[in-house]
Amino acid sequence: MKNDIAVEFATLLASARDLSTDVRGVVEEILQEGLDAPLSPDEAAALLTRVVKVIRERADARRDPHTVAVLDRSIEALVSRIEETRKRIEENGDGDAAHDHDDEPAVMVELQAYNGIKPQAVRPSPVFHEREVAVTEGFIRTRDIKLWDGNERLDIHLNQFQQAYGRKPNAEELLAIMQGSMPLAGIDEVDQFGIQSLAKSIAVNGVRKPPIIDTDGTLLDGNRRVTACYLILNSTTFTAEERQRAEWLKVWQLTPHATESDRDSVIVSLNFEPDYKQDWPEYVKARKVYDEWEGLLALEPRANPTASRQKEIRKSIARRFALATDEVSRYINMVKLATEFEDYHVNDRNKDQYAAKHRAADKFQYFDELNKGKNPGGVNWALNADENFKNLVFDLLYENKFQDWKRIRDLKHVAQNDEAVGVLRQAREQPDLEVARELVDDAISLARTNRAEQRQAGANTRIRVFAEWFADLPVKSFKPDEPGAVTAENLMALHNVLKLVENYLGDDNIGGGSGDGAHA
Amino acid sequence: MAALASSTNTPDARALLQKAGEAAAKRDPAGMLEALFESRFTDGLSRRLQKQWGNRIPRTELDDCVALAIDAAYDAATRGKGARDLGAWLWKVANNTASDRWTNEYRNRDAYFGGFPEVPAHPHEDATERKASDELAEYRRREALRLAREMLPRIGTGQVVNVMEIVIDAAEQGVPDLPASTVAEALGITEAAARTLVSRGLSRLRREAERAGVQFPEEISETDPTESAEDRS
Repeated sequence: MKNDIAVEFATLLASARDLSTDVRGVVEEILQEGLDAPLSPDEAAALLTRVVKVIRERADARRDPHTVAVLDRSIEALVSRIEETRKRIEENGDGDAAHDHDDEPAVMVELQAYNGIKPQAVRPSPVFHEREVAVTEGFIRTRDIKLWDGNERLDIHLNQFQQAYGRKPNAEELLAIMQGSMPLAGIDEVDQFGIQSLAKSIAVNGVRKPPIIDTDGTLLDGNRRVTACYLILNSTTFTAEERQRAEWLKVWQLTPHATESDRDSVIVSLNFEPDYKQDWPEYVKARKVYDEWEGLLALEPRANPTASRQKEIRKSIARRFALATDEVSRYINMVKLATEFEDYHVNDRNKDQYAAKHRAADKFQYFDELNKGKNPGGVNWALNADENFKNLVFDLLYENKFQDWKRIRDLKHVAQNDEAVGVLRQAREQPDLEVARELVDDAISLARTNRAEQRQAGANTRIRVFAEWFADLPVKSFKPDEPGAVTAENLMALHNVLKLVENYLGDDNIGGGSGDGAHA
Repeated sequence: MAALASSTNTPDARALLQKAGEAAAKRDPAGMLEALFESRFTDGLSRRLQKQWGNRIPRTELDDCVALAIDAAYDAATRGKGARDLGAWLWKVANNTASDRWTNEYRNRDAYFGGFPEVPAHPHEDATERKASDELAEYRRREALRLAREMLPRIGTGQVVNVMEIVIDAAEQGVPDLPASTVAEALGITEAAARTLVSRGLSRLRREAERAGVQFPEEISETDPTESAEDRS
């Protein structure tokens, strides 16, 4: 393909991607930005005048007398009407948009004194992700805390609920999701968030680390702890004393001066940086990183930023999420493959999209292994070289038919062996999980065995032919200046191999063990 | 003009955007502009462009980008091809226009200390050269579209091909925004399926193009430090 057409094709593909990119989020931000920081009257008038002029000129060029006439007739009235309206809005005052999670007026939740301990500022202010954030410590009734429905940990569950019921879950339903008592497709675990065991610990020890709430009582950190407290309060299996421990919680509350950056820092610090608690699943963290990556790419002036620019972007994401840059790259690649996995199961296998998401989340580490080996002969190369093989692997992964992730590494051998691939297909069709897993192992063993056999096959013939050919090489083949001469690098490689040969021969055989006069 | 409540919020602004689109469809440019400026979307758009391009393109030209986007939306609406999401349309057109200006008119200008470059690094083509250059560009574009369509059977069968046909048609017609809802409606599938099919189709088209020799700018290709030597082999 000629280079200029290739460039045009790449441009076409970039514009196709661009036109189909969902920018609803950007539009929402633009609307909010317009409301938060409107143009000054002079700026607005200048822009309006320019817009009217351009529309009029172009309408004229398009021979659209109607539009020209309308603008000519109403231009002055139009400008003054718009100015008046904008002025009126200014006078009525939009005010600064208060932080509001639920489109409801935010009500300040006040901390209480408990057991003689009064609410007080935490000194020194704690630091979250390199940011000092002022918080107040005090007590609150567990039942007054709102679980955070913006928690990324619950992202899939909440969207799944929304699709099923056409609305967000209420507080009780959110609790049921966290406690695992709400049936959702694709979730096999009874207690996915480990609430039962946490509740048992809290019943004995109380909540050791204060959850963090916003000014309106919304949880920013501690959804699991609060859910566990609810479980204790609602269950008859705990004693009155244990329930009492869960009734009042010591919490940290943000002050009314907290900014969005403060909130972000709290969330990032407590969910990305290591701690002694159940972190967000890697899938969720990686998704968040990936979304940030996509968002930043969308803001780039070039559709395809250079490799060095992409690296800069990844570095900035790494700083933002307290990750290493390599980790960001790894997450991005994993999410890409996981998305392909989900797409395949939703579109080709007619699986429920959320069930596919749960499975991708559950098997997320496997996508790391599946991404390795991009060169010929590697796992990722094998997957991309054959769509059917990739789909087969996706099917097995979905059905949990790999005993563990280590099996993934051997797929590169399986891909090159039709017989082994056939056994993998049998594993896909096999309904019994244990039998299917054995078949997967059989396929891997078969591929490994055949690979060893392949290596061994024809060894004697190959060596004999090579030895004869080498012995016949003219001397000039070893002169460096001669065209086509053997390179020093190759000679060194041969030398190394011959050292191995010495080991195999043993001392007795070196120097012509057969006594046929090799030294002659 | 619609009376506003004591304050405007994004749902109100959304409704005003909708109203602007309806006015455009009725060939009422004044009504469209009133609703647009009242929604303050124009303010946000101007601020956004300023943030993104303000250190490279003069403010007056960014205002032009906004104006051209509004005109394009108005023109399309009067021809019955109005945007489903006017906000998305305006953002994409304005941003693309700014990007084109940067690429074609500013990027190659000599650096100028203390302000925007005024003198192009390379002189403009004359009318004849420009005509020839436009014709060549058009030829390349047609060829690229032809190749894209030729590759469609290779990316799979069924819905993914149908979706990509719509996407390529839209790119050919210069449609700036193709929401998943439009694709979904055309093919009787869900929006989520449309989104995934578009993403998948584009990836596959890219893969097929690479096999055919198209060289794309490098993406993520860092070596994973956790990858073993055997994995790399």
